[in-house]
Amino acid sequence: MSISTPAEGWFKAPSGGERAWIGLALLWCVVLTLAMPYWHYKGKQNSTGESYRVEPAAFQARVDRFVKTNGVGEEKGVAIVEPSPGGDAYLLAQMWRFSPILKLRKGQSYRLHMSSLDLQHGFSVQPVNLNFQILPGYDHVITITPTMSGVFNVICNEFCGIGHHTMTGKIIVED
Amino acid sequence: MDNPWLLLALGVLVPFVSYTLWGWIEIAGVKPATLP
Repeated sequence: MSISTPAEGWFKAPSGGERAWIGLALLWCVVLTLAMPYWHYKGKQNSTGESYRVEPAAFQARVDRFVKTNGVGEEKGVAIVEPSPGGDAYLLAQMWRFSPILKLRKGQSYRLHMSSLDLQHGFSVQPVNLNFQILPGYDHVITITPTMSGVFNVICNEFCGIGHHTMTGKIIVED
Repeated sequence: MDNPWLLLALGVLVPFVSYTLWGWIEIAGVKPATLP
């Protein structure tokens, strides 16, 4: 809708450089659109989206039981837990800590359950840069298979309050 | 349909209603955790 009707034959099809740039922009749109599904399948960095509804207290109780049945030690007051290879592992995020410390075996797959006790936290494994979002009320399940051994730090990369910068965790992978 | 205000209202309302509904359906579809 325009204020006044344009004169007859006002439209001129783009030509020359303008046409080339429009063509390039369109081509780039197509490339980026195709890149998303391509990377979803080839990048192997996406979660399966598997998640369940859970009460924070119920998840904490499950984590406590996990620590009791699979605990192998303690580091600075945080339990070190070794889940059975191929089994379920639990990680609880809360202001401002991740617990427990997980001890995993290289080449073994685990179903890692993650949830938050209070608010949204970020789960970022460094230095491999594996990132995930943890929400309260959800049991997020991802299948992880460590491909290298070492000690990996977990940091929260979703601002979660005054102690956000101190919120760290640890995953130990052994051969 | 040539009324710009009607189009503006529809442009706001239709996505608002449909995305809210979609969100509710998604939340309602989340199964309870078994925590094996």
